[in-house]
Amino acid sequence: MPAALEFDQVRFRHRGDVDSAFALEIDRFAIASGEQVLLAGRSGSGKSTLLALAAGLVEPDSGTIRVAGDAITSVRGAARDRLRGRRIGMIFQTFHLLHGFSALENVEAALLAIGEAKSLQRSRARELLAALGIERASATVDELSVGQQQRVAVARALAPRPAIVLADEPTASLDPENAGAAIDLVQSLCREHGASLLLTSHDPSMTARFERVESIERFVRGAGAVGGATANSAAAARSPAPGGACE
Amino acid sequence: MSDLSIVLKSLLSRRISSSITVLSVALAVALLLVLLSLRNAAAGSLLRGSGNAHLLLSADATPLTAVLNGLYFAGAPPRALTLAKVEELRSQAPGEWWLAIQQGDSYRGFPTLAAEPAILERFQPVPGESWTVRDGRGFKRAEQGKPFEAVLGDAAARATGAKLGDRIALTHGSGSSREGAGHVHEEYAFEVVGILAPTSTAFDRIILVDLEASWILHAHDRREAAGELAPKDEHAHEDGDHAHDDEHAHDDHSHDHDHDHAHDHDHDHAHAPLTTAADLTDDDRLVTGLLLRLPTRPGADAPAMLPQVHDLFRRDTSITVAQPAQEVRRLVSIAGNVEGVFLAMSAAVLVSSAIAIMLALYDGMAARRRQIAILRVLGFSGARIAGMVITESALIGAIGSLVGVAIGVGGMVLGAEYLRTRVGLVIDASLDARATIVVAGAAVALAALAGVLPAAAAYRTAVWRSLRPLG
Repeated sequence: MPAALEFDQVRFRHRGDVDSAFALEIDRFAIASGEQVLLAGRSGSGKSTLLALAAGLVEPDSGTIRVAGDAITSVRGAARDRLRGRRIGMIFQTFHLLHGFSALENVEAALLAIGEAKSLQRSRARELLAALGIERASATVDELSVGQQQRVAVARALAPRPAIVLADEPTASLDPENAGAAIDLVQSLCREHGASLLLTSHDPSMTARFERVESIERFVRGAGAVGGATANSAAAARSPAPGGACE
Repeated sequence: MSDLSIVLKSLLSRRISSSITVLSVALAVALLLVLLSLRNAAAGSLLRGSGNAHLLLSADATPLTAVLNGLYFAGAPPRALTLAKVEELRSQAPGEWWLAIQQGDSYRGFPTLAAEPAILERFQPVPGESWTVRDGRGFKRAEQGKPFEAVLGDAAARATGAKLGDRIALTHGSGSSREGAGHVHEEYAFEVVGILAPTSTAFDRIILVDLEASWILHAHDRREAAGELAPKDEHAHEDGDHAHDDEHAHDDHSHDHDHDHAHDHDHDHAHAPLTTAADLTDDDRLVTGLLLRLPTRPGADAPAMLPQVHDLFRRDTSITVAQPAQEVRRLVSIAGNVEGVFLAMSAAVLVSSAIAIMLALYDGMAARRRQIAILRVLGFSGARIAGMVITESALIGAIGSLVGVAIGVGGMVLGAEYLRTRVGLVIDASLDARATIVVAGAAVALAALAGVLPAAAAYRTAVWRSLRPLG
């Protein structure tokens, strides 16, 4: 089975920064199917950029990024958007729900994007929202509590049955107790739906919740090639190659 | 859920801005539609109502005024032809028929057309379509001892409320007697004996009366002014049965002159004898126009001899000769130049509406950048989102067009009423179907075009940057 996510010799530097060194240098980084990885690092260290690269929203200067075996860096335009829609679910710190749309419509939108039939959109969205305890599926997201909005965001990310969920600081705006509950929810749902998880966080308390923790520092040029090793790297080493291999 | 439902959500989320742009498109569409439809309807009505006479001979100043006065009742012809002149003209060319007409009087602002009773059989207000009397019958030649007869056009009958059997008194001139604009021929009441079916021409506004009855009316005025009508005693009133009514006299108000005049008359000529055909002189027998239809071969549009006959009469400097259809086409062409300016202005309004749509959408792009970025993250392609923006723009154009058509329908009713009451032009008040399709289609196309720039902005949205702040 191909890795859910795979970076191969990826180099990236920010636009307009051509003379500077690469911002990110990732020789090899892979996440196995079903694996859950915490990408740790301080704010502004490049965690989100790595997620953007993985989602094909930012273009690397070189290298290859594969999602479930398909090189997202090799396709452009609508084909890349389609690939992202089908293989990747995204969860954001501020949820980024479609305002003015109902919870149901927010989830349906993710299915509409990948061309799911209208009848299937509705049944799948209802099923997911019900499983997450969202009873007022027809209420607009603005009418829901923060916790409910987060669950809608998770449901939307999982709706297209992605190979991997990229979660960008999903707990940054929550208190520790709710943050823990939210992470549990995301992790359990990803496990349940067979999706891998790459979650970024600057919160050190999150490391205990993941078997594999990677530090963004190891991909940042100038930060020290081995500086990114974390307490759970031993667990990472236990992951089967090539999915869990980190160089 | 569909792409269209996302577009509709987007429109509804900007209700005020969307409504204003829709209204601006609607007004432009309505303006264009009304102008185009009025132009087509007016031109069509003018051309349609030029009648089946090949030539109109009159003493008007120009052929165009002769046609406008004689067949469209724009005003009373200022000069008239004598019967002797008419006979002279008749002798110069062969006619399938000749019809002498006289104008100048009115009833409640509706013009009279005095003609020989044969006008109802010979003259066709719309070429190929004869008169149809929808109620009653045609008028007859004035007969001594009987009331004069009148047949009303459909619009005239509706507007005045006159019914069969009513008696009406004509006013000298084109003004309404109720406004005190003209002298009322009170001595002679005309009985309404027929009402014509609508023709959608200016003839719907006329009061058709007998030519000789009209001569008698005016001869009576002349004789009265000359003092020829010395009051007689009551037993001398045996010369006519003409009702002695007020301006809109009905049976219950009328009284005949052969009954006992025991009650009071409060007008000066109450006891004056009425003028009859026997009192007419050559000076009374005037006509304001002479309609001529030349012999025409079946299937031919115009007789071969028309140019020669037209040229023959043109040499007579004492008259004006006009080919009605040709004059109307010339008028429509002249008016078309002026309309072109209005149409250009309306088109400019439509274009400015499209620009308004573009600005509204483009301005909205900044606020929608986040939503677009979310959709892109979900897997919507840039082209698909650009298509949704163009659809939204076209939808504004389509809704605006629908509202515009609705406004246009109302505008046409008002415009038609204005033309009927102020200009005397009876037109079809419905929107021109072809113009409606073209204008509505153009509005939608322009609106869609206006969406291209905002769509390009949507296409170029930097997804990741639009979703910041992130970790």
